[in-house]
Amino acid sequence: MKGGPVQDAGRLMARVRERDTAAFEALYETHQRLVYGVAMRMLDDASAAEDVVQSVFLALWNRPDSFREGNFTAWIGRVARNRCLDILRARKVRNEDAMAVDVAGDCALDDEIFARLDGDRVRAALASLPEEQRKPIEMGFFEGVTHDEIARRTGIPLGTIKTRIRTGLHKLRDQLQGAVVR
Amino acid sequence: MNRATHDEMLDLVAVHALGALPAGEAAYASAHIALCDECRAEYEKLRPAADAIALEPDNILHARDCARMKNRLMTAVRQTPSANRISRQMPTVGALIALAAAIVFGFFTIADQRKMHDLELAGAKTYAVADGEILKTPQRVVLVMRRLPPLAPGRTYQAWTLAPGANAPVRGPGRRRCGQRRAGRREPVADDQAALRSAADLSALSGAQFRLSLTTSPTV
Repeated sequence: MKGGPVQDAGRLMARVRERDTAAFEALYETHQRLVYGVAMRMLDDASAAEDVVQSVFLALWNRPDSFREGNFTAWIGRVARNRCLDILRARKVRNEDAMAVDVAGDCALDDEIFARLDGDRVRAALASLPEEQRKPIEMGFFEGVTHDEIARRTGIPLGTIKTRIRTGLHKLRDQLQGAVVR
Repeated sequence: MNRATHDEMLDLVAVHALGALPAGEAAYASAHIALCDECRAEYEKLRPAADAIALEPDNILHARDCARMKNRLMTAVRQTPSANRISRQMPTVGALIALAAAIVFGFFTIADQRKMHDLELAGAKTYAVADGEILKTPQRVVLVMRRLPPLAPGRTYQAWTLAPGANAPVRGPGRRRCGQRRAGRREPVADDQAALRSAADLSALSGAQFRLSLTTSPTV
């Protein structure tokens, strides 16, 4: 692991476990926009997005052991997304299968890449994808819909959707990796 | 599993990395990933790319709103229990886990045998428990079950590995908590299925013996 921010977040979380409010504030300052951005994009409601920020960080303060290891930024982004998925589900009755809720931090994240990423690089990488790949990826991530629903909404066969998501994620990874190496 | 079928599995794994699979398929993908090196490598390769998408939104948050939100949060933080109170609560966790271990497997019935087939072919040893099944390789352990009882909102299932006689999760280079899933509140219970992958290093377990326990806890 080379990324300073990753180590910083790890150290700050260790202090948060000791109830250090200054460390908590520092984590909040550096990750508030990420959580708010995810929530705004998914919920399209500023008030609801603020509530998500509040609940995610308050839960972090109350249960700091919920973050165990890995990349904190990736972890809290996923926590925010999961919280938004809960809200989206509550907003509508879904006849389809409920979407799985991922385990935040259940796999080793590529810290080196993540620590050096920022919004501009991610936006550029996503924008470089062909629309046929970017669209199902963004629908799956931000709209909280399953691959079946993406296929239904777009009228594209499910198998094609899955392949496009996979191809797109590979390209996205390559783009992001290239962006941080340059 | 032939090559064509496995390529389809890799596609499914990518959708899983994105977090866009329905619960049943996600459980199946998780179980397969736990025992298939190629699919696990694919998942771990694509997951960071999927996670990075969270950085994409570019919403403007005005300084005034930032300050108001922070004040709201910190006011709530100052009203929470002190560190000492939290630390006094911690020793009870192990006891609760041990208690849960004794009763947990009574909740479930054996998972879809067709879906278990791939795992068995991978050379895993299979152990039947009261109402579930455990598959174990030297490196990993997979717990597959279905018909999880619905949980109250805001709680998750968590699976743990415990050394014999221990009342606390195994510590080691791997993770203590080996997996969790949130019970879908809208899922038909009869179709519910979960596979929990242990990321714990089983070599840390004395004599390769271990216990699995399942608990529920608040989500974050």
